[in-house]
Amino acid sequence: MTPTVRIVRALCTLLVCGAPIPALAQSVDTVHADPVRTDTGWADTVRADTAQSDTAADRLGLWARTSRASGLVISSGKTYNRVEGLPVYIGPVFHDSIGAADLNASVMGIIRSANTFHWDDQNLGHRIRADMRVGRGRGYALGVSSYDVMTPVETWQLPDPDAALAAFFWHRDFRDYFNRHGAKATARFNMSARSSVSADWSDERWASASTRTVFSIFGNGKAWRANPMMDAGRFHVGTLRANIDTRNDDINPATGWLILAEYERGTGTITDFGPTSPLIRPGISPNVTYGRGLIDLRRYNRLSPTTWINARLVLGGWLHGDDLPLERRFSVGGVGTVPGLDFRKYEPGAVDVSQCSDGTQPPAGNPAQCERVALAQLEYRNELHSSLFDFLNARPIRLRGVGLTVRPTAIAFVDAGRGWLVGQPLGTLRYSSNSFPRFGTFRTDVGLGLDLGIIGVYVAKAVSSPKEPANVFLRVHRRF
Amino acid sequence: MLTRFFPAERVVARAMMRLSLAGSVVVALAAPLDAQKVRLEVGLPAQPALADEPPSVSSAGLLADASMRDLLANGFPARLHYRLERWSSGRWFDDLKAAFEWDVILKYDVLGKKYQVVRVVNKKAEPLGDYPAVADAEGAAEAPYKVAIGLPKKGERGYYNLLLDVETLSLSDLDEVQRWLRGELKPAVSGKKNPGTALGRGVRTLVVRLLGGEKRHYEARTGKFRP
Repeated sequence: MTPTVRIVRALCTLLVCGAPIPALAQSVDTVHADPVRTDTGWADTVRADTAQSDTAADRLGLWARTSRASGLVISSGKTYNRVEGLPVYIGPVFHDSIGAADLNASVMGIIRSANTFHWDDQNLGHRIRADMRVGRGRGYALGVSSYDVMTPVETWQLPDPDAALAAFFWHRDFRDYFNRHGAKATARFNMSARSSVSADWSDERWASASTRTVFSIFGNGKAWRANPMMDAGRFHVGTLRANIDTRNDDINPATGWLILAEYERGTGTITDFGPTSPLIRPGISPNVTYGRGLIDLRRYNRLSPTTWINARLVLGGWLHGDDLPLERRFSVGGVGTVPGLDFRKYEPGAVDVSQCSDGTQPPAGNPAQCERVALAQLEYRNELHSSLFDFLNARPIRLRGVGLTVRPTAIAFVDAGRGWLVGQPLGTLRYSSNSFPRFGTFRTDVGLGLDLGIIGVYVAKAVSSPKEPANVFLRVHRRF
Repeated sequence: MLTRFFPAERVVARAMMRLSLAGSVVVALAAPLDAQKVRLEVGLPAQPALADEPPSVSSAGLLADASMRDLLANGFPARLHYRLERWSSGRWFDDLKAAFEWDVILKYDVLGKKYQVVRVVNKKAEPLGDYPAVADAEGAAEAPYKVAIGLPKKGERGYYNLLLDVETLSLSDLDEVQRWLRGELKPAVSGKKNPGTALGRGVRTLVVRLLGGEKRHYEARTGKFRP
């Protein structure tokens, strides 16, 4: 295969890696009113608010955001990573409605671009699903699915587009993956278009996935970070999940809450244990039953028309039962959490509260091994006077007919986080189940950023490790 | 997307080179835009009527881009999704007091050779007319509209914030792949077209998609006022 064809193929496949990414912000003229008090009597007219994300145009079918036609489709897994490259989904889809119920079904085969689409077990998968949804805002949904897919270990850290772009452009994969093969039943109650509670039950086989030959724009010849070996076995997993979203806008929120709370109970048999650092699993038993929780709490506040202060708190970890399998463990550090710290960095001899190792050489890939994690993020955003960047806006860039104009926002942020093990207290690595590490043991950083509406450029400096050099990074999405 | 910038100067150089390359791709793909000044306004009523009369929203130049007009003329609808918010200024935080959303849809009826303009409010479609010329249709879509948002109480200091998303066509995965397979990539890959052109188009599409370019977002806000 010639290099040109390979590049065309890579681009072609990436092009279907569509993901919701913030729209471009453009500065426009505004009309200002002087804040002058009046003595006129008031009449508070009560009118219905229509704030909702599922717009009338969508409901009336005047504007179709996506194709709803049944037929044969080619799509992507909306990801790009070192174990599968780009997964390409091919297969028939079916959409229909009966009364108030929308019915969707699809039978998708998956071929992965790793090893230049080589036809082998790791490059093939499937996702078959059937679901029914009643109600466009408030309502409920039921679904069943069967799948053989690669799944990230920690999806809470970094959004899919940032992770995929880092892998595709910079040869940096900030996630670990494992194979999930099984079936799942889901029931969901939608309280609104963006808030829901749901319950899943699945029967799955988990297996390790190895790093493969995957193309990237820069650093293509370098070796990828090893994808850590995970626990292999069969699990039954039940999950309760609540997603509460009161934000005024899901892409550029100025106020509101976003709360994700999840409880997972898993039971199963591990047939092959993944390697771990010492202390991670005091006793090994193939039969495990565990309880795991995760809460991701985000609050957005507007201080003035041009300033915001936003906060995020993540608490997650072991709740009861046996040790968590490696697939369900945690870590902090890196672009998505505490960016002043290098992602998965190993410092010989030092107790690592980011990945939870005792200072000895960790397993290949330095996997997430913590049983609990806490992360707090705070950011202050200040929209800059656009005239500072008028030299960019004077001649707006045009890409395929779309004019881009920057609308800069300065950002100052602080982050603090760490992980730990649960059990007999031991130094700063292991704590009893009802205790919480001292704040002084947390890994912290401070940073500055410039969000151009198109992309954000940030600098973060670790505070807890003064000798750690500063890191520069880019984010397509907001940090959170 | 993480790059250490010191202590090693080589790392700095490499990082800068990579950023330059990435930037060069964008700049190389960029072309000057016709001087189209977009104007979006939230018009407040006179000071004595701030608590009695709603604000009005108007705009100009949103669809003046030639490529957007081409898309419209070829049957792709344009959607203008408005959201007007009323915020009150608090001591520490500002509060969102009311919000109102509506859509304006522009479609070209190829058979009738006329542009149809519809405003959708509270699930109800209100026709704004059929126009033979696109400029007239734009005029109807962007004409001042009094927004039925909850009004502030007397003495309640606050401001209005307007968010507008303009979409000209849907770029779902399926649409994108179908378009490539149908018109662009297939001939290029099979040797009937210059692969470099397809590559360039691909990079442009990629950059636009990465930047969220299929949708334009505008914001405007009033100054603070007190009825």
